[in-house]
Amino acid sequence: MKPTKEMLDAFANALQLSIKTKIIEIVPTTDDEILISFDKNPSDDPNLFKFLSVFDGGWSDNSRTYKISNTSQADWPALKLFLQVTRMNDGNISKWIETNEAALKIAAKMGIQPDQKNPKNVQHVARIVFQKVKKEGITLRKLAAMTGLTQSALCNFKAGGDIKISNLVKIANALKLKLKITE
Amino acid sequence: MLIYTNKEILSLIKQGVRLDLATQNYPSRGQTAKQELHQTSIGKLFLKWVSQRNHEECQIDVRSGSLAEREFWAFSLAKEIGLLVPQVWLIDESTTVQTWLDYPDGHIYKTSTGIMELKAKNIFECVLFDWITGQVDRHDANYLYDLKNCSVIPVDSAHSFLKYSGSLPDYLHLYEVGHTPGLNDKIHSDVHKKLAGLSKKKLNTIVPLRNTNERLAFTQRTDQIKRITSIDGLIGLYRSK
Repeated sequence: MKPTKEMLDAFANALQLSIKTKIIEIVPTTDDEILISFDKNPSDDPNLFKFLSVFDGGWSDNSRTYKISNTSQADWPALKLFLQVTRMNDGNISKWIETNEAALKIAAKMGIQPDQKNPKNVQHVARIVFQKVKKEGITLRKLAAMTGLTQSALCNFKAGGDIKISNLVKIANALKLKLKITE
Repeated sequence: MLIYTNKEILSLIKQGVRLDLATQNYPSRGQTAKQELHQTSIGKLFLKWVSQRNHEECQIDVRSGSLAEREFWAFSLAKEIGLLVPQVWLIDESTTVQTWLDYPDGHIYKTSTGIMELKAKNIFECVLFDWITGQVDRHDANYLYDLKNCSVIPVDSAHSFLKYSGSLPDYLHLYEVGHTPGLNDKIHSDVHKKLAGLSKKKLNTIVPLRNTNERLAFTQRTDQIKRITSIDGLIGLYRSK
């Protein structure tokens, strides 16, 4: 979506809270481009570099200005919330992406993935299962046939709904996934 | 805990960079006369000045303790009992500097997800602190939420130590509705032990209120928590005041 002035202001507030380098201004230059100017070359600000990897863009002006392209493709409210909640702290990011789909997409662009080995909730388990389904090119109809479950039960699980352990075992067996509980 | 004198802290701020953008529209920082966030070599530092008007609007008896002094006393008490809060330096009777903790506040977290895992022991300890300090301003932008450890961190505790009792903190409202069956559980807490063990003399040294009524109310609230062992007990203090 194309960011409004209010969206950009709120985004700038949240970004400034999360980084060390002082932001001078954030201005749209064309319909699909934004410039962020900093008071110095932010070479010692890893959070800033990590966050900017979310965008298509590049540095100019002796690395004091960053041009973000394709701004209409970005989810500005989600980006603002991501910064407000995580402040780019690694622990906060790991926790936040467990429960928030938009945050998961933002973190993925930074190369951060959820901890697949230790899912923390049903949504997280569903995400692991349906990543495998996608990878194998299996349709829901086929998965229903493989497991004996209804397509609506599978849809409900995919959407983050709860599932019986016996049904989860059927899905795991069909997909050759291992279920493990350890102390 | 950072060991810096007031002079060193002000010098760090002077050498740092002021981050104007960061405090625009920031919900928990709207009440103070003047506020600045600075990026310094030891991290972000938050500088606050309160005005006479702030004191009048909040009905604070400045002769007993200014808002800045109350903020510092609340921090000193939290430090004494081992409760995590941002470090505060009292620069003068109107000015404080505090470390800026990079956590979301309850306002952001609560409204964006609808879920906030809270731990009984942490809630018990924060409510103990808010009760004895007579905190009247613990709304959801005046506490931070540590996502990783699912814990509440009280911030901006200046509205405290008044002669009347405080108001039920927002995080306690949330906890009460979400954890009703466990409210009566007995909680063992080092913070509670330390609080209960503080003598009146020690309390008056940490919190040197100059108004006798406020001082008496403070020591009375501290006495009241000695027999309390559960979150429900603390809720009872608020409801029966």
